[in-house]
Amino acid sequence: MSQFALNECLLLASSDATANPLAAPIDLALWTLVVFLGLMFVLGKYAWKPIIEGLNAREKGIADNIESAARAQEEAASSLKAYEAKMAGAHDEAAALIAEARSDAAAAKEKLMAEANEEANRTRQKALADVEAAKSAAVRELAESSVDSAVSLASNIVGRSLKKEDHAKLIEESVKRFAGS
Amino acid sequence: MLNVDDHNHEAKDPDHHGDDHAQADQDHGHDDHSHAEADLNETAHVGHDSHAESGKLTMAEQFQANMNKHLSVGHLMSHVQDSYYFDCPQALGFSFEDEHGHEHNGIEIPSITGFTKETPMIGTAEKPIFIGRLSKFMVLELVAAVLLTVVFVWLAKKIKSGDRPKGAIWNLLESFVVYIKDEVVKPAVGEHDYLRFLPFLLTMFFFILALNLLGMLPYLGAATGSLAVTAVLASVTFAVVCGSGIQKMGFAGFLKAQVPAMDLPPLMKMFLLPLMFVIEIFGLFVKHGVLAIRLFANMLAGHLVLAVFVGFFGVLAGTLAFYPVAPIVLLGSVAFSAMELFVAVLQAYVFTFLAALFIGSAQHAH
Amino acid sequence: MTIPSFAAIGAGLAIIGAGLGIGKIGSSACESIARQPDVANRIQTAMIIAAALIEGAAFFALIVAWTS
Repeated sequence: MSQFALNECLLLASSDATANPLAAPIDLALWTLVVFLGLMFVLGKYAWKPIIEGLNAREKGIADNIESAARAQEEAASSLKAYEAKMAGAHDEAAALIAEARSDAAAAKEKLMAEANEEANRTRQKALADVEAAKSAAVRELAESSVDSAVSLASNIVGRSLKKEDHAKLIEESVKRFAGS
Repeated sequence: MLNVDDHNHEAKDPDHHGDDHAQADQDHGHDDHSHAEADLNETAHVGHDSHAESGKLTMAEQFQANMNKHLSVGHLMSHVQDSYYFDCPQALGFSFEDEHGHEHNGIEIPSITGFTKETPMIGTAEKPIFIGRLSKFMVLELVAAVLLTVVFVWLAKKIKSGDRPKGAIWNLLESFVVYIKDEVVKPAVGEHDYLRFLPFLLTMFFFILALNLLGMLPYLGAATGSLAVTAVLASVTFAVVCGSGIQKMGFAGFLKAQVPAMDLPPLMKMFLLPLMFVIEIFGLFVKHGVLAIRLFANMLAGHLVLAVFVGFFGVLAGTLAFYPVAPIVLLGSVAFSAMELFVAVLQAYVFTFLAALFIGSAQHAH
Repeated sequence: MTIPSFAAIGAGLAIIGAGLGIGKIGSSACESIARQPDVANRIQTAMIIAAALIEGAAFFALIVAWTS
């Protein structure tokens, strides 16, 4: 290293056999400095600045896009949820309506049936009562008229009045017979 | 059929290293060469036993002669170092005579200013200090700068348009830029003020990458294989590191920040702090020096190895060993070129990454 | 034996040291990444820094060997 003198550095490498690998000619060094600084200035102004701006703008645009997409997705999800809730509500409502209608119908039916039954019963009862009344009236009438006719017949036949007990007994027997017939 | 001469093989040569000087060297040692040819012709007709005859080169002697021509340090270095001419295929017929009277296959870069190495602008012919003439590496740097300007102004226009990336070139360039921005500079410098240093580091990365890749093209050269270039790039980095550190913490603050904070008894502190300060300041210079040397040494060594590989063709030329060995050398040189391609990108990345780390550490206290 | 051959041996020794060091870094980094792939990026960063420091020392040795 000690023999490695500065002026040796300054020697331009030649094609001689004594070529120095550490040759660093000042020409080339200064030229490199000028070219590099010039390149840095030109590229910095006309290339790197717009490139970095463009890349950042694109990066920002992509980030914005992703963010707005996420927001849109969130919105869609929430509105879907609301819609689903609404749908579920409507379903419940409809089911309730149907159930109500069903129970109303059932109640109406029940009422109608009951009314009809009642009506029928009443009519039947009335008819039965009428029949019974008519029957008893007819029986009584028949009994009276038959007693009368029997009395008159008997009086006619016997000629004299039967004793009162005989009379009653006779009526009873004849009523029984009549009723049994 | 065994009449194998330099000329044919050099013309077929797929790479640029070690080929063009063959002609120049061949001219110097022309007599030897015709001897070898004559010998080989005879060998083809008569057989191997004719070597014993006096006045003919044996195969070993032929190898030795070729080795001296193609694998000498001076010859190899002339292919990887700066020069005032561009090599070109011998078949194109360009040749010129340099100031030493050596004939080269190539195109000399005209001296616009009129200065040459013999008549430098500053200094003497023996010790030229400033020559004032365009060299190969200067032209390559200019080419790289123009290429980068065209390509990235185009990319800027495309990105500014707001379209999404379309096409291979756009995607490729953008992925590089985004990688340097997000994976290298942002974590190394820190989220807060990485944008300030991004233009510098991006320029650094692509400039080094372009120079390295230009070096992979046949007949050109890697300007980053010269210490002058990498030393300037490292010096600019050093200036940015110190400048940004001083701007942030003030001159005294920046110097103070170089020494790590430690909990020590006062007596120890009095002794240790100056020592550590000296070491850290020395380290600051060494770090950036190594930055320059790493890039330079990697590129120079890689291209020297490539030159040696291709130089083997020259060594083999005119001998029977050419046929079995040349395919192996060819494969080896292709494989090593692929490796160099990787190194070209890796070193650009490492330089940028370390520069970003140094800038980052200058922004924050040690 | 001439001085340059001593220098060449020195260069070789420097390369052996650097090679061992960088190899060790590479192997540990690979093991660590295999064990914890999540922090691969940070391991890679640390690996490159350490390798770069060793490389720097090796280059200094090489230059001393070359120029002496």
